[in-house]
Amino acid sequence: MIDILSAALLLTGAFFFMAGTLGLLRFPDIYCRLHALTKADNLGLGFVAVGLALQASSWSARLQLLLTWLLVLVAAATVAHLLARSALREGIEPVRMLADRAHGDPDDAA
Amino acid sequence: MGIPMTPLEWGLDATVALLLVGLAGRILFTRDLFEATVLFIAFGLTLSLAWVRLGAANVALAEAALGAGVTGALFLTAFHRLARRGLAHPLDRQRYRADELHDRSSRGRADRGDDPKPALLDVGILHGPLWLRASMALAGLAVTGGIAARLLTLADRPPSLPILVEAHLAETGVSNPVTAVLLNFRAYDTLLEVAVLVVAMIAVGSLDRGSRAFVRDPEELEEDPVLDALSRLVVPLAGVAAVYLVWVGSHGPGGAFQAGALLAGAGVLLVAAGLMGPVTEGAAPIRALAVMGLAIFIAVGAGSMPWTGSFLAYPPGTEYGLILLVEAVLALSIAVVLIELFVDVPAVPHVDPALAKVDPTGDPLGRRISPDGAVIRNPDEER
Repeated sequence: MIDILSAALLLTGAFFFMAGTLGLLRFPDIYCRLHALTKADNLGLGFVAVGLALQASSWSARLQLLLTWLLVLVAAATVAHLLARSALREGIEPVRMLADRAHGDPDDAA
Repeated sequence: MGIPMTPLEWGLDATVALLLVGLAGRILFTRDLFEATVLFIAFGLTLSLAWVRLGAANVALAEAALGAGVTGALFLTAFHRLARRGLAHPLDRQRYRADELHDRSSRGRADRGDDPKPALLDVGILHGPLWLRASMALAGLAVTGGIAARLLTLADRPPSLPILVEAHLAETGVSNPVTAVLLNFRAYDTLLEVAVLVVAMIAVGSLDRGSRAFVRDPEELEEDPVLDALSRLVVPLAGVAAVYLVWVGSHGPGGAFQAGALLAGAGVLLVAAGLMGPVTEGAAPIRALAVMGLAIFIAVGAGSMPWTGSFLAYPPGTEYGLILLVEAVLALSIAVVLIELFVDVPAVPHVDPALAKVDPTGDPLGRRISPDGAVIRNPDEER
Protein backbone atom coordinates (compact mmCIF):
# COMPACT_ATOMS: atom_id res chain seq x y z
CA MET A 1 0.00 0.00 0.00
CA ILE A 2 2.73 2.39 1.02
CA ASP A 3 4.68 1.34 -2.05
CA ILE A 4 1.79 2.20 -4.34
CA LEU A 5 1.25 5.57 -2.69
CA SER A 6 4.94 6.33 -2.85
CA ALA A 7 5.16 5.30 -6.50
CA ALA A 8 2.18 7.52 -7.32
CA LEU A 9 3.82 10.48 -5.60
CA LEU A 10 7.14 9.90 -7.38
CA LEU A 11 5.36 9.67 -10.74
CA THR A 12 3.48 12.89 -10.01
CA GLY A 13 6.80 14.53 -9.22
CA ALA A 14 8.27 13.19 -12.44
CA PHE A 15 5.26 14.57 -14.32
CA PHE A 16 5.95 18.05 -12.95
CA PHE A 17 9.61 17.84 -13.92
CA MET A 18 8.58 16.72 -17.38
CA ALA A 19 6.08 19.56 -17.70
CA GLY A 20 8.68 22.05 -16.45
CA THR A 21 11.23 20.82 -18.99
CA LEU A 22 8.65 21.01 -21.75
CA GLY A 23 7.88 24.57 -20.69
CA LEU A 24 11.58 25.44 -20.66
CA LEU A 25 11.90 24.19 -24.22
CA ARG A 26 8.63 25.46 -25.67
CA PHE A 27 7.63 28.67 -23.90
CA PRO A 28 8.18 31.88 -25.85
CA ASP A 29 10.30 34.02 -23.53
CA ILE A 30 12.50 33.87 -20.45
CA TYR A 31 9.76 34.92 -18.04
CA CYS A 32 7.41 32.14 -19.10
CA ARG A 33 10.29 29.64 -19.01
CA LEU A 34 11.23 30.69 -15.50
CA HIS A 35 7.61 30.19 -14.49
CA ALA A 36 7.67 26.64 -15.86
CA LEU A 37 11.03 25.81 -14.29
CA THR A 38 10.12 27.08 -10.86
CA LYS A 39 6.94 25.02 -10.88
CA ALA A 40 9.00 21.93 -11.64
CA ASP A 41 11.50 22.66 -8.90
CA ASN A 42 8.96 23.42 -6.25
CA LEU A 43 6.14 20.97 -6.87
CA GLY A 44 8.07 18.22 -8.64
CA LEU A 45 10.75 18.03 -6.00
CA GLY A 46 8.11 18.31 -3.27
CA PHE A 47 6.25 15.26 -4.59
CA VAL A 48 9.48 13.32 -5.02
CA ALA A 49 10.54 14.22 -1.47
CA VAL A 50 7.22 13.09 0.01
CA GLY A 51 7.34 9.92 -2.07
CA LEU A 52 10.83 9.15 -0.78
CA ALA A 53 9.91 10.10 2.78
CA LEU A 54 7.34 7.31 2.78
CA GLN A 55 10.14 4.87 1.97
CA ALA A 56 12.63 6.35 4.41
CA SER A 57 13.67 4.16 7.32
CA SER A 58 14.06 6.86 9.94
CA TRP A 59 12.65 10.20 10.96
CA SER A 60 16.05 11.81 10.63
CA ALA A 61 16.14 10.81 6.96
CA ARG A 62 12.65 12.28 6.50
CA LEU A 63 13.73 15.51 8.17
CA GLN A 64 16.73 15.69 5.86
CA LEU A 65 14.42 15.29 2.85
CA LEU A 66 12.19 18.07 4.16
CA LEU A 67 15.20 20.33 4.75
CA THR A 68 16.52 19.63 1.26
CA TRP A 69 13.16 20.53 -0.25
CA LEU A 70 12.89 23.75 1.75
CA LEU A 71 16.42 24.84 0.80
CA VAL A 72 15.83 24.13 -2.88
CA LEU A 73 12.54 26.03 -2.63
CA VAL A 74 14.27 29.12 -1.26
CA ALA A 75 17.18 28.90 -3.68
CA ALA A 76 14.97 28.32 -6.74
CA ALA A 77 12.74 31.27 -5.87
CA THR A 78 15.75 33.53 -5.40
CA VAL A 79 17.42 32.41 -8.62
CA ALA A 80 14.20 32.88 -10.61
CA HIS A 81 13.84 36.37 -9.15
CA LEU A 82 17.45 37.29 -9.99
CA LEU A 83 17.24 35.93 -13.54
CA ALA A 84 13.96 37.72 -14.23
CA ARG A 85 15.24 40.97 -12.77
CA SER A 86 18.47 40.87 -14.73
CA ALA A 87 16.58 40.03 -17.94
CA LEU A 88 14.22 42.96 -17.38
CA ARG A 89 17.17 45.28 -16.70
CA GLU A 90 18.84 44.22 -19.91
CA GLY A 91 15.73 45.18 -21.82
CA ILE A 92 14.16 41.86 -22.70
CA GLU A 93 10.47 42.64 -22.97
CA PRO A 94 7.91 40.06 -21.92
CA VAL A 95 6.40 38.44 -25.00
CA ARG A 96 2.94 39.79 -24.19
CA MET A 97 4.13 43.38 -24.35
CA LEU A 98 5.80 42.79 -27.69
CA ALA A 99 2.62 41.24 -29.07
CA ASP A 100 0.50 44.11 -27.80
CA ARG A 101 2.74 46.61 -29.45
CA ALA A 102 2.71 44.72 -32.73
CA HIS A 103 -1.11 44.87 -32.72
CA GLY A 104 -1.05 48.54 -31.90
CA ASP A 105 -2.73 48.14 -28.53
CA PRO A 106 -3.39 51.75 -27.45
CA ASP A 107 -3.06 50.91 -23.74
CA ASP A 108 0.50 49.89 -24.24
CA ALA A 109 1.55 52.89 -26.30
CA ALA A 110 3.25 54.53 -23.33
CA MET B 1 29.84 -6.19 -7.10
CA GLY B 2 28.47 -9.68 -6.74
CA ILE B 3 24.79 -8.73 -6.68
CA PRO B 4 23.18 -9.10 -10.11
CA MET B 5 21.70 -5.88 -11.46
CA THR B 6 18.03 -5.52 -12.24
CA PRO B 7 16.95 -4.31 -15.70
CA LEU B 8 16.04 -1.00 -14.09
CA GLU B 9 19.58 -0.52 -12.80
CA TRP B 10 20.99 -1.50 -16.19
CA GLY B 11 18.74 1.06 -17.80
CA LEU B 12 19.77 3.76 -15.35
CA ASP B 13 23.48 3.04 -15.77
CA ALA B 14 23.21 2.90 -19.54
CA THR B 15 21.31 6.21 -19.58
CA VAL B 16 23.93 7.89 -17.41
CA ALA B 17 26.78 6.53 -19.53
CA LEU B 18 25.20 7.56 -22.83
CA LEU B 19 24.27 10.96 -21.44
CA LEU B 20 27.88 11.52 -20.35
CA VAL B 21 29.31 10.67 -23.76
CA GLY B 22 26.64 12.73 -25.54
CA LEU B 23 27.18 15.75 -23.30
CA ALA B 24 30.95 15.53 -23.66
CA GLY B 25 30.64 15.46 -27.45
CA ARG B 26 28.26 18.39 -27.52
CA ILE B 27 30.49 20.43 -25.17
CA LEU B 28 33.48 19.87 -27.41
CA PHE B 29 31.79 20.53 -30.71
CA THR B 30 29.33 23.33 -30.07
CA ARG B 31 30.31 26.77 -31.30
CA ASP B 32 28.30 28.48 -28.60
CA LEU B 33 30.43 29.09 -25.51
CA PHE B 34 27.39 29.67 -23.32
CA GLU B 35 25.89 26.36 -24.33
CA ALA B 36 29.21 24.62 -23.67
CA THR B 37 29.38 26.22 -20.22
CA VAL B 38 25.87 25.22 -19.21
CA LEU B 39 26.32 21.71 -20.58
CA PHE B 40 29.59 21.42 -18.65
CA ILE B 41 27.65 21.95 -15.44
CA ALA B 42 25.09 19.36 -16.54
CA PHE B 43 28.00 17.04 -17.34
CA GLY B 44 29.42 17.48 -13.82
CA LEU B 45 26.08 16.68 -12.22
CA THR B 46 25.61 13.61 -14.42
CA LEU B 47 29.14 12.52 -13.60
CA SER B 48 28.45 12.79 -9.88
CA LEU B 49 25.40 10.59 -10.47
CA ALA B 50 27.73 8.08 -12.11
CA TRP B 51 30.00 8.16 -9.05
CA VAL B 52 27.00 7.51 -6.81
CA ARG B 53 26.14 4.49 -8.98
CA LEU B 54 29.72 3.28 -8.56
CA GLY B 55 29.35 3.53 -4.79
CA ALA B 56 31.85 6.41 -4.46
CA ALA B 57 29.84 8.93 -2.46
CA ASN B 58 32.98 10.92 -1.60
CA VAL B 59 33.91 11.46 -5.21
CA ALA B 60 30.28 12.22 -6.08
CA LEU B 61 30.18 14.94 -3.44
CA ALA B 62 33.46 16.43 -4.63
CA GLU B 63 32.42 16.25 -8.28
CA ALA B 64 29.08 17.96 -7.62
CA ALA B 65 30.60 20.68 -5.43
CA LEU B 66 33.90 21.30 -7.24
CA GLY B 67 33.48 19.89 -10.74
CA ALA B 68 29.96 21.12 -11.43
CA GLY B 69 29.52 23.89 -8.87
CA VAL B 70 32.75 25.81 -8.47
CA THR B 71 34.22 25.12 -11.92
CA GLY B 72 30.88 25.77 -13.59
CA ALA B 73 30.52 29.08 -11.80
CA LEU B 74 34.09 30.04 -12.76
CA PHE B 75 33.34 29.22 -16.41
CA LEU B 76 30.15 31.27 -16.26
CA THR B 77 32.11 34.19 -14.85
CA ALA B 78 34.67 33.85 -17.62
CA PHE B 79 31.90 33.70 -20.22
CA HIS B 80 30.28 36.79 -18.78
CA ARG B 81 33.54 38.70 -19.02
CA LEU B 82 34.09 37.57 -22.61
CA ALA B 83 30.53 38.49 -23.52
CA ARG B 84 30.87 41.89 -21.94
CA ARG B 85 33.70 42.57 -24.32
CA GLY B 86 31.74 41.23 -27.23
CA LEU B 87 33.85 38.09 -27.56
CA ALA B 88 31.42 35.38 -26.55
CA HIS B 89 30.58 34.18 -30.03
CA PRO B 90 33.06 32.68 -32.47
CA LEU B 91 32.23 35.24 -35.14
CA ASP B 92 32.94 38.05 -32.71
CA ARG B 93 36.31 36.55 -31.91
CA GLN B 94 37.18 36.35 -35.59
CA ARG B 95 36.15 39.96 -36.04
CA TYR B 96 38.16 40.92 -32.99
CA ARG B 97 41.26 39.30 -34.35
CA ALA B 98 40.79 40.96 -37.73
CA ASP B 99 40.37 44.33 -36.01
CA GLU B 100 43.42 43.71 -33.96
CA LEU B 101 45.58 42.84 -36.95
CA HIS B 102 44.32 45.96 -38.65
CA ASP B 103 45.10 48.02 -35.57
CA ARG B 104 48.56 46.64 -35.35
CA SER B 105 49.41 47.44 -38.91
CA SER B 106 47.88 50.92 -38.91
CA ARG B 107 48.38 52.46 -35.51
CA GLY B 108 49.88 49.88 -33.18
CA ARG B 109 48.44 48.69 -29.93
CA ALA B 110 49.20 51.70 -27.82
CA ASP B 111 45.60 52.67 -27.21
CA ARG B 112 44.47 49.18 -26.41
CA GLY B 113 46.52 48.88 -23.29
CA ASP B 114 47.37 45.28 -22.51
CA ASP B 115 44.22 43.56 -23.68
CA PRO B 116 44.81 39.84 -23.52
CA LYS B 117 44.38 38.21 -26.90
CA PRO B 118 41.36 35.91 -26.95
CA ALA B 119 42.54 34.15 -30.11
CA LEU B 120 43.54 30.99 -28.26
CA LEU B 121 39.91 30.23 -27.55
CA ASP B 122 38.94 29.06 -30.97
CA VAL B 123 42.22 27.77 -32.27
CA GLY B 124 41.67 24.08 -31.91
CA ILE B 125 42.74 20.84 -33.39
CA LEU B 126 39.52 21.05 -35.42
CA HIS B 127 41.12 23.61 -37.70
CA GLY B 128 44.18 21.47 -38.37
CA PRO B 129 44.85 19.42 -41.51
CA LEU B 130 43.08 16.11 -42.00
CA TRP B 131 46.10 13.90 -41.30
CA LEU B 132 46.63 15.67 -37.98
CA ARG B 133 43.01 15.28 -36.95
CA ALA B 134 43.00 11.65 -38.07
CA SER B 135 46.14 10.80 -36.13
CA MET B 136 44.79 12.55 -33.03
CA ALA B 137 41.61 10.51 -33.30
CA LEU B 138 43.63 7.31 -33.74
CA ALA B 139 45.81 8.14 -30.74
CA GLY B 140 42.71 8.78 -28.64
CA LEU B 141 41.17 5.52 -29.74
CA ALA B 142 44.40 3.65 -29.00
CA VAL B 143 44.58 5.01 -25.45
CA THR B 144 40.91 4.29 -24.80
CA GLY B 145 41.21 0.85 -26.32
CA GLY B 146 44.33 0.12 -24.28
CA ILE B 147 42.67 1.12 -21.03
CA ALA B 148 39.54 -0.84 -21.92
CA ALA B 149 41.55 -3.95 -22.83
CA ARG B 150 43.53 -3.73 -19.60
CA LEU B 151 40.35 -3.32 -17.54
CA LEU B 152 38.64 -6.22 -19.25
CA THR B 153 41.58 -8.55 -18.64
CA LEU B 154 41.70 -7.41 -15.01
CA ALA B 155 38.06 -8.21 -14.42
CA ASP B 156 38.58 -11.72 -13.06
CA ARG B 157 41.17 -10.77 -10.49
CA PRO B 158 39.98 -9.32 -7.21
CA PRO B 159 40.82 -5.62 -6.98
CA SER B 160 43.77 -5.63 -4.65
CA LEU B 161 44.06 -2.02 -3.50
CA PRO B 162 40.71 -1.76 -1.69
CA ILE B 163 41.54 -4.96 0.18
CA LEU B 164 44.93 -3.60 1.23
CA VAL B 165 43.27 -0.38 2.37
CA GLU B 166 40.66 -2.29 4.35
CA ALA B 167 43.34 -4.41 5.98
CA HIS B 168 45.34 -1.42 7.17
CA LEU B 169 42.47 0.96 7.86
CA ALA B 170 42.75 0.52 11.62
CA GLU B 171 46.34 1.79 11.55
CA THR B 172 45.37 5.10 9.93
CA GLY B 173 43.36 6.52 12.80
CA VAL B 174 40.28 7.15 10.66
CA SER B 175 37.57 4.78 9.51
CA ASN B 176 36.68 6.41 6.19
CA PRO B 177 38.83 4.62 3.59
CA VAL B 178 38.88 7.64 1.27
CA THR B 179 40.17 9.97 3.99
CA ALA B 180 42.68 7.32 4.98
CA VAL B 181 44.00 7.19 1.44
CA LEU B 182 43.97 10.97 0.95
CA LEU B 183 45.64 11.98 4.18
CA ASN B 184 47.63 8.96 5.22
CA PHE B 185 48.54 6.43 2.54
CA ARG B 186 48.81 9.01 -0.19
CA ALA B 187 49.20 12.24 1.74
CA TYR B 188 51.84 13.38 -0.77
CA ASP B 189 49.22 13.59 -3.53
CA THR B 190 46.89 15.65 -1.41
CA LEU B 191 49.70 17.95 -0.31
CA LEU B 192 50.62 18.64 -3.92
CA GLU B 193 46.99 19.19 -4.91
CA VAL B 194 46.64 21.85 -2.26
CA ALA B 195 49.91 23.39 -3.42
CA VAL B 196 48.51 23.56 -6.97
CA LEU B 197 45.47 25.45 -5.69
CA VAL B 198 47.61 27.97 -3.84
CA VAL B 199 49.86 28.47 -6.87
CA ALA B 200 46.77 29.02 -9.05
CA MET B 201 45.57 31.70 -6.68
CA ILE B 202 48.94 33.44 -6.73
CA ALA B 203 48.98 33.28 -10.54
CA VAL B 204 45.50 34.80 -10.82
CA GLY B 205 46.39 37.43 -8.25
CA SER B 206 49.44 38.52 -10.20
CA LEU B 207 47.67 38.83 -13.57
CA ASP B 208 47.04 42.52 -13.30
CA ARG B 209 48.29 44.11 -10.13
CA GLY B 210 46.56 47.27 -9.11
CA SER B 211 43.17 46.97 -10.72
CA ARG B 212 40.89 44.64 -8.94
CA ALA B 213 37.19 44.28 -9.43
CA PHE B 214 34.65 41.65 -8.73
CA VAL B 215 32.77 40.71 -11.87
CA ARG B 216 29.79 42.84 -10.97
CA ASP B 217 29.77 46.44 -12.05
CA PRO B 218 29.51 49.01 -9.28
CA GLU B 219 26.16 50.16 -10.68
CA GLU B 220 24.86 46.62 -10.47
CA LEU B 221 25.90 46.44 -6.85
CA GLU B 222 22.70 47.77 -5.47
CA GLU B 223 20.84 46.06 -2.72
CA ASP B 224 18.63 43.19 -3.58
CA PRO B 225 16.48 42.26 -0.59
CA VAL B 226 15.81 38.76 -1.89
CA LEU B 227 19.44 37.85 -2.45
CA ASP B 228 20.27 39.45 0.87
CA ALA B 229 17.68 37.33 2.68
CA LEU B 230 18.85 34.17 0.95
CA SER B 231 22.46 34.80 1.97
CA ARG B 232 21.53 35.46 5.57
CA LEU B 233 19.62 32.20 5.64
CA VAL B 234 21.97 29.96 3.69
CA VAL B 235 25.43 31.11 4.73
CA PRO B 236 25.13 30.10 8.42
CA LEU B 237 23.69 26.74 7.32
CA ALA B 238 26.61 26.27 4.95
CA GLY B 239 29.01 27.02 7.80
CA VAL B 240 27.44 24.36 10.00
CA ALA B 241 27.39 21.88 7.13
CA ALA B 242 31.07 22.54 6.38
CA VAL B 243 32.12 21.84 9.97
CA TYR B 244 30.02 18.68 9.85
CA LEU B 245 31.65 17.60 6.58
CA VAL B 246 35.16 17.99 8.01
CA TRP B 247 34.23 16.03 11.12
CA VAL B 248 32.31 13.31 9.30
CA GLY B 249 35.16 12.99 6.81
CA SER B 250 37.07 10.85 9.30
CA HIS B 251 34.46 8.09 9.22
CA GLY B 252 32.11 8.69 6.29
CA PRO B 253 31.72 10.56 3.01
CA GLY B 254 33.00 14.10 3.49
CA GLY B 255 36.29 15.87 4.01
CA ALA B 256 38.30 19.01 3.48
CA PHE B 257 37.68 19.51 -0.24
CA GLN B 258 33.90 19.14 0.04
CA ALA B 259 33.75 21.40 3.09
CA GLY B 260 36.04 23.94 1.43
CA ALA B 261 33.84 24.05 -1.68
CA LEU B 262 30.77 24.58 0.48
CA LEU B 263 32.41 27.43 2.39
CA ALA B 264 33.60 28.94 -0.87
CA GLY B 265 30.04 28.86 -2.22
CA ALA B 266 28.87 30.66 0.89
CA GLY B 267 31.65 33.24 0.51
CA VAL B 268 30.86 33.90 -3.14
CA LEU B 269 27.19 34.31 -2.22
CA LEU B 270 28.17 36.87 0.43
CA VAL B 271 30.22 38.84 -2.06
CA ALA B 272 27.49 38.67 -4.71
CA ALA B 273 24.92 39.90 -2.22
CA GLY B 274 27.20 42.77 -1.27
CA LEU B 275 27.39 41.60 2.34
CA MET B 276 31.13 41.08 2.15
CA GLY B 277 33.30 43.53 0.30
CA PRO B 278 35.50 42.20 -2.48
CA VAL B 279 38.64 41.01 -0.82
CA THR B 280 41.36 43.36 -1.83
CA GLU B 281 44.74 42.46 -3.09
CA GLY B 282 47.46 42.39 -0.52
CA ALA B 283 45.18 41.73 2.42
CA ALA B 284 47.67 39.92 4.61
CA PRO B 285 45.14 37.92 6.67
CA ILE B 286 43.59 36.55 3.48
CA ARG B 287 46.94 35.48 2.10
CA ALA B 288 47.84 33.94 5.44
CA LEU B 289 44.57 31.96 5.50
CA ALA B 290 45.14 30.80 1.93
CA VAL B 291 48.55 29.27 2.60
CA MET B 292 47.79 28.15 6.16
CA GLY B 293 46.44 24.75 5.08
CA LEU B 294 49.54 23.98 3.07
CA ALA B 295 51.84 25.31 5.81
CA ILE B 296 50.23 23.27 8.59
CA PHE B 297 50.12 20.17 6.41
CA ILE B 298 53.87 20.49 5.79
CA ALA B 299 54.53 21.39 9.43
CA VAL B 300 52.67 18.33 10.67
CA GLY B 301 54.38 16.13 8.10
CA ALA B 302 57.84 17.45 8.92
CA GLY B 303 57.24 17.88 12.64
CA SER B 304 56.50 14.22 13.18
CA MET B 305 59.64 13.07 11.39
CA PRO B 306 61.66 12.68 14.61
CA TRP B 307 59.12 10.07 15.78
CA THR B 308 58.31 8.35 12.53
CA GLY B 309 61.47 8.83 10.51
CA SER B 310 59.63 9.71 7.31
CA PHE B 311 57.90 12.76 5.90
CA LEU B 312 54.10 12.91 6.17
CA ALA B 313 53.84 9.90 8.47
CA TYR B 314 51.91 10.38 11.69
CA PRO B 315 53.22 9.07 15.03
CA PRO B 316 51.08 6.14 16.26
CA GLY B 317 48.19 7.30 18.43
CA THR B 318 48.09 10.84 17.07
CA GLU B 319 46.71 10.00 13.59
CA TYR B 320 43.09 10.88 14.29
CA GLY B 321 43.82 14.25 15.88
CA LEU B 322 46.43 15.25 13.33
CA ILE B 323 44.34 14.25 10.33
CA LEU B 324 41.34 16.14 11.70
CA LEU B 325 43.54 19.21 12.34
CA VAL B 326 45.00 19.12 8.84
CA GLU B 327 41.53 18.59 7.32
CA ALA B 328 40.01 21.51 9.22
CA VAL B 329 42.74 23.96 8.24
CA LEU B 330 42.78 22.66 4.69
CA ALA B 331 39.03 23.24 4.38
CA LEU B 332 39.48 26.88 5.41
CA SER B 333 42.39 27.43 3.05
CA ILE B 334 40.64 25.75 0.11
CA ALA B 335 37.61 27.96 0.72
CA VAL B 336 39.72 31.13 0.78
CA VAL B 337 41.59 30.14 -2.38
CA LEU B 338 38.38 29.37 -4.26
CA ILE B 339 36.74 32.63 -3.16
CA GLU B 340 39.84 34.51 -4.26
CA LEU B 341 39.71 32.84 -7.67
CA PHE B 342 36.25 34.37 -8.11
CA VAL B 343 36.77 37.72 -6.52
CA ASP B 344 40.37 38.72 -6.88
CA VAL B 345 40.48 38.96 -10.64
CA PRO B 346 41.65 41.90 -12.71
CA ALA B 347 39.04 44.44 -13.62
CA VAL B 348 37.51 44.04 -17.07
CA PRO B 349 39.81 46.07 -19.28
CA HIS B 350 38.85 48.65 -21.82
CA VAL B 351 35.88 47.67 -24.01
CA ASP B 352 36.35 48.22 -27.71
CA PRO B 353 33.60 50.68 -28.77
CA ALA B 354 33.06 48.92 -32.12
CA LEU B 355 32.49 45.64 -30.35
CA ALA B 356 30.46 47.26 -27.61
CA LYS B 357 28.02 48.36 -30.29
CA VAL B 358 27.57 44.79 -31.36
CA ASP B 359 27.01 43.50 -27.86
CA PRO B 360 26.96 46.17 -25.19
CA THR B 361 25.38 44.07 -22.51
CA GLY B 362 27.59 41.06 -22.37
CA ASP B 363 24.56 38.93 -22.59
CA PRO B 364 24.53 35.63 -20.74
CA LEU B 365 21.16 34.78 -22.27
CA GLY B 366 22.40 34.34 -25.81
CA ARG B 367 20.52 37.39 -27.07
CA ARG B 368 22.32 40.04 -29.03
CA ILE B 369 21.73 43.58 -30.01
CA SER B 370 22.15 44.63 -33.60
CA PRO B 371 23.80 47.95 -34.51
CA ASP B 372 20.41 49.67 -34.87
CA GLY B 373 19.49 48.68 -31.35
CA ALA B 374 17.00 45.90 -32.08
CA VAL B 375 17.20 42.79 -29.99
CA ILE B 376 18.10 39.66 -31.90
CA ARG B 377 16.80 36.76 -29.88
CA ASN B 378 18.77 33.96 -31.36
CA PRO B 379 22.33 34.71 -32.42
CA ASP B 380 22.26 31.87 -34.95
CA GLU B 381 19.45 33.47 -36.91
CA GLU B 382 21.64 36.40 -37.65
CA ARG B 383 24.23 34.43 -39.53
